[in-house]
Order: sequence, then C-alpha cells, then structure tokens
Amino acid sequence: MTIASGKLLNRGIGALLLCSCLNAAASPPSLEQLLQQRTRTLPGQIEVSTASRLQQSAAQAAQVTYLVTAEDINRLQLRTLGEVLSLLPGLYVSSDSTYGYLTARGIGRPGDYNSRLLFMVDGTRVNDNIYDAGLVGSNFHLDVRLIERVEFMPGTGSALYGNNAYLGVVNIISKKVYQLQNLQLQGSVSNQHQHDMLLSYGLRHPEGHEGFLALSQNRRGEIPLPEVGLADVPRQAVDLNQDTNTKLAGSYSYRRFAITFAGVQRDRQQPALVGERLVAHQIQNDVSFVNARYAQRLSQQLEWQGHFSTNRMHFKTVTPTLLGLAANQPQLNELIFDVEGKWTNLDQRFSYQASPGLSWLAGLDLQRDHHQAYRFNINELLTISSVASSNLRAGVFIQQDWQLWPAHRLLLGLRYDHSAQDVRELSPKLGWIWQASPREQWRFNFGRAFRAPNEYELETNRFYQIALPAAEQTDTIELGWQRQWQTDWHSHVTVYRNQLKNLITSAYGDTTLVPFFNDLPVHAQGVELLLQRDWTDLSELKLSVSLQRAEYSTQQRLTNSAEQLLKLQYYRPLWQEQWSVGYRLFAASARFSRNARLAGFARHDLSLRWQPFANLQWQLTIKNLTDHRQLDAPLPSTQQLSQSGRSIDLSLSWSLP
Amino acid sequence: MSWCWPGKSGWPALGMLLACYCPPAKAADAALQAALIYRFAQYSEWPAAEPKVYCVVQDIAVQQALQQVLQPSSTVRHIQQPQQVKGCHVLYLSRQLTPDPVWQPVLQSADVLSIAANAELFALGAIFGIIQEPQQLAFRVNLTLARSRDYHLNARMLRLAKELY
Repeated sequence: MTIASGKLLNRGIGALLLCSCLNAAASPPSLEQLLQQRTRTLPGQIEVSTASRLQQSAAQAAQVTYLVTAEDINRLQLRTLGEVLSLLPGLYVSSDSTYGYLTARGIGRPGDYNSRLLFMVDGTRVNDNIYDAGLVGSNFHLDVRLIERVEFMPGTGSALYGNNAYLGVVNIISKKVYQLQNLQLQGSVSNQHQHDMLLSYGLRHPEGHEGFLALSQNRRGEIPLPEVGLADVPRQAVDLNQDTNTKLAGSYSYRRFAITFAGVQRDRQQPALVGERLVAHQIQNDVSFVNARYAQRLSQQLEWQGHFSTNRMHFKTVTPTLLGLAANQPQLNELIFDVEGKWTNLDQRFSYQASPGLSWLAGLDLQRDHHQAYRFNINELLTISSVASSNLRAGVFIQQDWQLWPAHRLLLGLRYDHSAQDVRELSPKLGWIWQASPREQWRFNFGRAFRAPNEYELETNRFYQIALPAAEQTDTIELGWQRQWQTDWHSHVTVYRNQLKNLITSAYGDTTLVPFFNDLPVHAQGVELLLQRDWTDLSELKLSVSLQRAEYSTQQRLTNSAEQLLKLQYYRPLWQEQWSVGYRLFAASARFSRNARLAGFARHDLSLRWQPFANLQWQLTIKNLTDHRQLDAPLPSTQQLSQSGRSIDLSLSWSLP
Repeated sequence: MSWCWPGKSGWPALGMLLACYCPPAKAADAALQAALIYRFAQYSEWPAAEPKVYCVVQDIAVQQALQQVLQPSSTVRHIQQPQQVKGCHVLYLSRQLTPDPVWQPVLQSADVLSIAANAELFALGAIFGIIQEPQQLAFRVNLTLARSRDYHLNARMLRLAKELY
C-alpha cells in the first residue's frame, strides 16, 4: 500500500467514523485503517536516527533534522537524490549534466564531489574512498522511489561520524518490506527522452523472515549540451549524449539481523570533438555495497549494535584521442582513465542507560581501504601513470546525554580519528536543549568537524610534486528555536556561525588534473527558517528561507553559492478525493563564479495526481514550468553550464492488490 | 468546537473523537493511540486469559479515550509508578514518561502486554512500539520477546508492522 493510497483512504475512514457518530452499530476501524489515518504529528515527536546514531524522538536530539518523505518524492516525481536534497533548507544543487554538485549553508567549492557531507544509506557510509564523493545524480545507489525518507542534519557531525560530516549528514532511509510487499511496478516517460522503470517484490513471513528485491532502469537520450555559447551543435552530437543507469537493490532480515545490498551500473556517453571527428566519450561508473547489521540487548541497560559493510566503486572514462596516433592509423586511440576503490567498514556501538536521566553511547568505527587505484593508459596497453595505495582509518567516540533538570538536557560528545595516512583529529561537541514548554524548544550546540584530504586530492598533489593539503576544520555554533503554534503552524529557526580553515580548493583550470591547496580561512553565517502547516482537508504547506553568507578573511565572498534561498511546497486535494495537485517553488539569489555573476532565478513545478484505486496512480508533472534555464559554474573550469529546462513527465504506479 | 456523543461507549465514540471532534489535535491523537492499543490487545493472545485491566502511564487523554473505546466490563487505570502495575493486563507507556530503567522489571512480566509510545520507551523492553512518522503512525513488534513469553500475535497484524525485532 502506498502512502498516497493511504491518504485517499483517510477520507474513507473519516466518512466511516462520521457514520459511526450517527450509527452506534458501525464497524470499528481496522488496524489497516488506523495506520492510514492522517496524523498531525508534532515535529519533535517524529522518530529520527541521524543526530545521535540511534532511534529517538526528534525533540531529544541536540541538532535539528530536516526530512523529505517518500510522499514528498512521489508528489513531485523526483528522479535523483539531488532533486530530493534541493527541497531541504540551506542546500543548493547544480549539475554538469553528468554529476550533481551540492553546496550547503553557502559552502561549495568548484569541482568537489560533495565530500563535505557524509552520505549514508540506512547508516552505511557511502562516500567513496577515492574522491569521498557523495553521488547525488542519477547514479546514486538506490532508485529514489525506494527511499522512505531522507534525514538531513545540517552542521557538524564529526563528533559522532568522523570524516566528511563537515557541513552535515545525509542519511537515506530505504523503504522496508512492509512498504514493498507484493509486486509493485512504477514507470514514467518524459518529453525529455527519459524513461524510468522500477519493479519490486517483497515478502514477509509471520515468523519474522522478510525480504525484497527491486530492479530499476533509467534511460535518457538526446540530452541537451549544457555548455553555454556553443554554436551550431550538430544533431549527431545531441544523439550521442546519453545516460543509462541500471540499479539492483534488495534486503533480507530476520528480526534484529539484516542484510542489505544496492548497486548501480552507469553507462554515460557524451559527444567529443577530436580533430574534425565527432566521437563518443564514454563514462562507466559502478558503485555497490553490501551491509549486515545486528543488535543485541546485553543487559537491561546495555545494548550492542554491530554493523559491517563492504563497498566498491569503479569509474572509467574512455576518451578517443589523437595522442600516439600512428601515421595512416584509421582508428583513434583511446585514452583510458580507470579508478577503482574497495573498502570495508566495521562499526560497533554500545548504548548504556545508566539512570533515567543519564545515558551513554560509545563506539568504534573502522574502515579498511583495501584498494585505491588509478591508472591512465592508452588502449589498455600503454600505461602513462599508475598509482595504488591502501589505508586504515579508525575512530572512537563517546557521547553522554544528561538530563540536568526536567526541562534541560546536556549532551557532550568527543571523537578521535586516526588514519594510516596521517589523520589525527579530535572532534568535540556540546549541546544543550531547553524544553521551554510542551510547544516550544530551544537548542544550542557547538561542534568541531573535519574533512581529511581524500585520495584524489593527495595523489594529484603528489603527481605535481607539491605540498599535500592539510585536513579541513570547522567550528560551528548554532542556536535553534522551535515552536508549535495554536493555529497548527510549526516554525523552526536556526542561526549559525561557522569558522572554516584549510578549505581544500582546486586550482582553476581546464585540465583533467588540477592541483589542490588550502584556501584562506572562511567565516560563514546564516539563518534558516522553516514554516510548516497541515490543514484538516489534507492540504499541506512547507516554506523555507535560508539566508547565508560565506566570506574569506579578506572579506571577499565565496564563489559558487546562493546567499538567499526560498523553497515552497504546497499540496492539496482537489474537488474529488482521487485528484490532488502539488506545487513547488525554488528561488535562488545570484551566485558568483570566479569571473562572472550568475543571475538569480525562480523555478516552478506543478503536478496533478489521479488515484482511481488504492493500488493505481497516474501523475502528470511539469518541472520548470517557465522553462527558465539558469546558469551555474560548478566545475574548476568556471565554465557556465545551463541547467535543465522544462520537462513534462507522465508516471504510473501500480501494485498487486 | 463541539462534541457529538452518541450516548454509548465504544467505537462510535472513537469515531467522534477522530472525525467529529476537530482540533485540538491532541485529543484526536489520543483517540488514535487508544484505538491502536485496543487493536494490539485484540490481535494478541498471552498468558493473561482475557485483558480486562488496561493501564496508561502518565497520559490522561489516552486513558479517557481508551475508556470510550473499551467495553464497560474493562477498566482503564491511570498510573504513575511501576509499583501500580500489579493487576494490569495491558500497559501503555506514554511519551510523557521519561525512559527509566525502573520500568524494566515490570516489562519482564509475561502477564502484561506492553506498548511503548516512542523508540526510547520501546528500548526498555516493550512488545509493541508506536512509531511517529511525519503524517502517520506505524508500529514495531519485538517478536523475539513475544515468542519467548509464548505470546501469540496475529499474522495479519504482523504483516502491517513496520519493523519486526
């Protein structure tokens, strides 16, 4: 049963219960109906798991957690993780048509691969071990329709998670078997030559054995070239611009033991001009993970959780080249860049409830990088450059949650990270929560976080024989105020200030390999406002405003990020319960690249949903209604790239009754 | 704001709570919690042959809503301390309660079907845990614990659980 169908049934329940008022003999709501009943849950009561690495009510966490739910994803027919993340306060996503680039709270450096955010799938770290990349484009491990929710904890997270939890932690919670039971089929077509399909099957045994398997494919052809100012692009060039992603995911669990796997194989093809010839530049990218989790209560007060995962990423580009071409050779040579990473994580956590007002969480995280390798070669025969290394990373952490007085709690945390590649980082955290009233809460927290230079940055500088960059560090102070108003409005305001040093930045350049350096200190500050309201007729409104400014110590503004973001989502049922409409506004102020000002813009998305039966849904979505193609410059080349234009998507979702 | 009591206890009253009685949301929420407690007990069989005594810890709204739902032959007690659990067949730990290990011994009793309102309380050792989702409720079941105490839980109910432990 989808959430959407549940919404429709809510009205049925309402009618049923209304009848109950008039007819004492009416049958009671079933458990299914009760679970589909729409609730107006206070945000503080919603269960989250990212802020403290354990399941808890959001009000218990020292830092705010923003959510995007499966229903949000479904309503707007979002297709990539980047589109999902762009709903969240403070995040801005741009694309070069192959990869997505995130900026968070005003910080984003050209050419980074989102390594300042920690990405997890159900608690499994998925940033790779070469670029520390977080994939937010179409090649993310999971099809977004398999996401139950995305939790985003902005701010420092290194006191619990270590490396990469620098500007925030993104935890993607996948759907469980209870949401994927029986056969489900979803598909969509778009006027932008895009086709999507997802097929899943899930099964649960009353003894607790359960599992699902899901296969999806996304294909896009004739992708417009994003580069601005290209003249006379031949039709064949657009035809060569294609992207295909095939994904497989599944899980098996028995009570507190679970195994999950997910992987994607990407085949991306882009046109390239070599001499006079138009040729295809190939990108192959495979990423996958398998994880196993188990939890055991060791005593009434002590619980152990163990987590093991093994991951692989493979990235290969094949570029036709004139390099080394012999006289009269008919075929172009192939310049091949081959990157492979394999790593294994082992996490152990112990939670201890010492007394009603005092609990401890302690843990050990290990990461063994078995394989970190690059190879440049021609035709797989002539090696130009080859590098291989390995690493071992370890982190120990402890966190104390102490109820000082009935309305005041204090959280203290400390983590030490150590790696064979010379990382020695101490990350403290202090949080204070004041529950001023049942409807009002204040939060203060201070945290320190780091991002160690990744393998790509280290090896690139070694290649150029220049100094290796030092680890980035940030100190962040945050004050949050949350209130539930009598009128069913909920508001949340966060004010923050970051001090960042050693920001690792790539030199500007057009070459494949650009060296890295530690940039000047940066001060960033901002305000995030989130307003939400649910109406009794099932309408919903969510509005966020982010004002953020990041400057070097020289007062010069940081490039690549909007200083004002406005995001609005509105959803309401129409004249009949089967019909509903959704609207989304995304507006950003001007951004700056090194040599240009990129104008602010507003994008509008509109969707219309028809659900004639509980197990069948049709949806028409128009994204970027006004076809405004804003420009961004997310790459070190500072080249301005046009973002996606209007698309019209028609989607179908069906499940076996 | 108006109440439209049908004059009888039971499901019609719950219906009113959910549908006729509009905001404050707290009452509707309590009614929904009460309905879930009733269903969990209805779909479970455990050593207490017939659940007659329902105990609600520190939530008067849920206690009142539950009283409306149940047959007159059942009683609903509002309790504050673990020592008051004696005689209870169904125990609901409301979210007003601070997760306190002193409740763990009473949760060990095979005679009591325990339902926790949030994750922190479920971790104390309850059989059922209510999960607060952004717009819906879900629930988890500690099936291992239930089986170890010879509880029989309805397969249809288990199919609807978000998590089985």
